[in-house]
Amino acid sequence: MPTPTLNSAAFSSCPAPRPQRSQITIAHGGGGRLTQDLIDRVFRPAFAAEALDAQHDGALLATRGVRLAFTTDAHVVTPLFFPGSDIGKIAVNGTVNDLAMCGARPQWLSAAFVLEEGLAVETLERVVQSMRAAAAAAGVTIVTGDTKVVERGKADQLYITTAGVGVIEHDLVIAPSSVRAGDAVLLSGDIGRHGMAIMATRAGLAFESPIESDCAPLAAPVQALFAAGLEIHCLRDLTRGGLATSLVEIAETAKLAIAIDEERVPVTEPVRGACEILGLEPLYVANEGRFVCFVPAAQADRALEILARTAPGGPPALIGHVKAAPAGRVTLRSVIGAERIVDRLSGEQLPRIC
Amino acid sequence: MSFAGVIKNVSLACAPEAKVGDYVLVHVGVAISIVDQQEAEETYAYLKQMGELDGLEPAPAGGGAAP
Amino acid sequence: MKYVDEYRDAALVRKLADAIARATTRPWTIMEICGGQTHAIVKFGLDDLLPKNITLVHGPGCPVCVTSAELIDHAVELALTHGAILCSFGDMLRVPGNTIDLLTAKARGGDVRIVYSPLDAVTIAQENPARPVVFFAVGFETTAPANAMSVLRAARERATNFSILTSHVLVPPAMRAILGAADNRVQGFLAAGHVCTIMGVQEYGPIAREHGAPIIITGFEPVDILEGVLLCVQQLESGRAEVENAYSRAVRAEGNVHARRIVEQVFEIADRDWRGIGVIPRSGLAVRAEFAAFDAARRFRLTPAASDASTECISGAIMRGVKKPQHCPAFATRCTPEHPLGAPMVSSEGACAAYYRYRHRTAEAEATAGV
Repeated sequence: MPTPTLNSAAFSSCPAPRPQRSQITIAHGGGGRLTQDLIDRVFRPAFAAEALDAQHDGALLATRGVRLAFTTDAHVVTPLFFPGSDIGKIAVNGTVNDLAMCGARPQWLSAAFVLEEGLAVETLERVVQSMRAAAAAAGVTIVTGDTKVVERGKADQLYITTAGVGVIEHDLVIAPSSVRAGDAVLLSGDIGRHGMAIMATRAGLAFESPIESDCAPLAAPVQALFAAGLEIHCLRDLTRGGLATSLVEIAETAKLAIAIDEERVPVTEPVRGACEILGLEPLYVANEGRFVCFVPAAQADRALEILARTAPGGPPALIGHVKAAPAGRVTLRSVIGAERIVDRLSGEQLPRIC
Repeated sequence: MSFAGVIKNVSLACAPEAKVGDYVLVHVGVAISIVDQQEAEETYAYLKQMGELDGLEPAPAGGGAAP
Repeated sequence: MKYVDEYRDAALVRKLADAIARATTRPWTIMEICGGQTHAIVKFGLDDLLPKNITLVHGPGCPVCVTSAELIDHAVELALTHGAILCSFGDMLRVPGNTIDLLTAKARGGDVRIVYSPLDAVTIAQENPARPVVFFAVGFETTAPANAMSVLRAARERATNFSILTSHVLVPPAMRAILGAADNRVQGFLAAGHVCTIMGVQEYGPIAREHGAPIIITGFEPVDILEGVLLCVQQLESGRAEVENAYSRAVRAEGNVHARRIVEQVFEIADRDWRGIGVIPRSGLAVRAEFAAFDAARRFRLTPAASDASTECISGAIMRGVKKPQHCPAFATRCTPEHPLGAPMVSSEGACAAYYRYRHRTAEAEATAGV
């Protein structure tokens, strides 16, 4: 985008000058447009690689007849513990899920810790025990790691970076490039629990039945879909930025359009209520145990049946379809029957006042 | 105050006559109005009825564009 | 969700849309002047359901958008130079002042915190007695009681480190300024229902009569908004110009007396500079002298900033309904929510952001039709 000069007509007719964007702001971490901007302008030009261009959750690699998936994640969530999950559980499941979304069987993880001076060892032990349990539940092994300590104030108690390797045991290419017009868009379960669990903890909301994070491993339902011989085109787990962002990313990469029906998107009552109160939209709230699945329309029913048996947070739902055009456009039919365009957020979703 | 299962502390300084069971309108942590249930029911019933009656009348020719 | 779901009922929405189409025989321009209504109209795609000869304009109903650049500069100064904990509603953070926005100030080390309620800011003041805590008190009449209460609570509990930076605006003077402008096109208003829960409906009668414009007090669920439009169109078609309360489940004619008493204790009416529009006399609230200790503008030496360049700037024309966002040469090219040139592109309730997020299609359709 060209920078407006001081002499351009538009610049002189608007009172506010363009703000400086020479520093990273919190908005850059929101998973929205600013994050994508950073990836496109800073990282991708420097690290040019075909695997990066595929813009999927992990890299699909091949060597000597073996196909692998490789992924990495950094985890900085605050507070460290919240209803239903903690930073350790997210670290393991986040990486497991990224590998699963590549169509791989997750096998080996690494875990690097940055610890803040003053962190209670007991806190670290709790996190590590949680990781052990999550790894066991997901069927993966943590095989290597690293630890560093920084001075008080230089890390928010604890940061964890994980990387993971999985083996691909089929011939399909699970990526946005495999999506086709006419594909059914399936959602594995209800959305918004993870983000609202955290936001509610921070905002001091209480619940008659507390909202718990939906953090869960997704390798099992994905493996079940493969085992049934279904023609899976794409998988994506919903993380920060929520369902909306994942759909926009896939539509843009695949250069296709996606149309979804708001009424078919499952949201539980407490999540809906909390979103109403804080002025947020469930479509953009983070999840940690849900994914979307693109399959040919004829296989949708079979896939839903399998997901209903194996995926957490069900029942799963058919929420929409892929269309040929316009490229990159995601539309939503709202509950009152009107259509609107779904776009990325700019930065983070911020609670509204009105 | 409870809303769809969410419990939040809200100030009633501007709605001191609110009783348990009342519905209140909340803005930035303050209850600003008690929902008048009777008004709500009457208006809503009127709206639904209006919609139904209109459905029986034919649309005038050359009127506003259909949505 | 009671009192929410039934007002989003698809069948009822469609019936109301049909009723509006049948009632409309001529083109009409109706303005809504509430950020929450803007948001709902755009989120639910309501103006898509209206007949083509009804033009629904998003007026200056977003308090974030009309906050002057100078005040944002003051907020930034409080955070960066005076070391205050600057508490604010979320939407204010990305609006640029004359130089930077609060989010950038935070990136530069300012202690900027998002709060859900001004009362939370008082709690922060009590938890941090050694540091000044300032709440950026933005809003229309709906938010004034909460802001006033925060001052009263701070006074009562001797949280002397607490103060507010006021950017309060009032709706009726803005309506008069819009209707009184030479190039005005607005013929009827949907008045902000939540503002009226506080203020009641009395102020709107004289405006309706003097300018011949019907004013419908409207809520902000889809059914409420369409009902408001229908009643407005019916009045316009029959040449009436009255105030009607279509939000009677929450609005009483006299408003909320307790709330107004609290507001009058702390605030008095003052002139206010509306970003993009200019100074509208007696259109804002300022902290009374008795509470000067809690008025950040008086407590801190804040650098006066240049006021906005021109009162004829396009964001002003947009907010008055004279131009649409897609007519701005910078719209969606140099001016986007990530790199906004003006306030209405930042707030999720700003007219430009609303159009940007959901209206690529309208722009494309208009371009194809050669508009």
